[in-house]
Amino acid sequence: MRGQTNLFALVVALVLLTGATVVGVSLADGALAGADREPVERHAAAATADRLIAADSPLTVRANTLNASRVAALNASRLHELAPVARTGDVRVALDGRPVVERGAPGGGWTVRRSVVVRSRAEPRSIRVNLSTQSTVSVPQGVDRATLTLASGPNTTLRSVRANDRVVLHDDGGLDTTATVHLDRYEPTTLRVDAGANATGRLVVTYRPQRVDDRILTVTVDA
Amino acid sequence: MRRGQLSLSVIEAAIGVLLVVGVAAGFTVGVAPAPSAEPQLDSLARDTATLLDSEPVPGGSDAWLVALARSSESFDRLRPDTRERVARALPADVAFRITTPHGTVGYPRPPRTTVGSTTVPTRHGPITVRVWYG
Repeated sequence: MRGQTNLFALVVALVLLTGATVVGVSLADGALAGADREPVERHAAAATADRLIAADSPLTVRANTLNASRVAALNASRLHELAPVARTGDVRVALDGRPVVERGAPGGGWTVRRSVVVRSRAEPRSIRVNLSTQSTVSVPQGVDRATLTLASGPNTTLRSVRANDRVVLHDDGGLDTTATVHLDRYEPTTLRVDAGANATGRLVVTYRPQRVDDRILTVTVDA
Repeated sequence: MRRGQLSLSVIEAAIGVLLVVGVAAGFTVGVAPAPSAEPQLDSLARDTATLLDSEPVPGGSDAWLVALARSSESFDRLRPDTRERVARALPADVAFRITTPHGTVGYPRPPRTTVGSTTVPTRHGPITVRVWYG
């Protein structure tokens, strides 16, 4: 009698324990499976976005400022080189909803949004100045470089060019050249040729005005 | 005698079940943090600060952040432009508040929302950018 009762209790205990183990392990497995996938996509998307807009990324001029032509040249294999972390799944990079690059066809996945600006250079603009009438040229704010072509007239030696009183070109033997100078994009620049009162010659300044557009960069990774 | 033996086994079984369920629940609770919006908001706040740090203010020679922190007058002059500039930079569903030594720009921050923030030191004082889904 005692033995039988013990056996019954043992069977009930074993059934309960097995049931609890099965339910518990399946719950835990479900939780693990659900938790495992998303961080991969999340991290891949965040890391890809970080990589694309970093200051030293090949796409950017500085942090968060993308160069329009380099973005246009981006393709799937370049993206793969830039952000190998996203190689496991389907990836889409878009600017304001317009896809830039797509590898595979991400359906769901995880999307990361970042604020960027896209800088594009407009058509070059040239300003020609006759040095006998005028020795300064104004370049608007936001231009970070300009190409100067100097041609001195007879009996004239042009020694230096200043941008906002900073000497950017100088040659004691006379400037008769084409050169690219870097300007401060934070303020409008006045280029001044140090020429005497009776100087003659020509100065051509060529620069490309910049357009800066705000965009939202979205990176979607579907692993 | 008989009752005592049965209840001991049941107690053992109950303790066993509790143990197994406890371990399984440990997995469930420990490994599944809900996907949080905070890292996303933090990077949007950082993006905003980076853009304000690298762009010149219209008609001035300072970056936005420096001009905002420089002086009370400079801050007051730039306040409407800053609001417009930041609203343009962020996605439409994200609201922001920028705290400078001379005042704040943006929307009042609702209580109990997840907020992403970043603080940038400038030579005139720190500037904090906070963003949230609004």
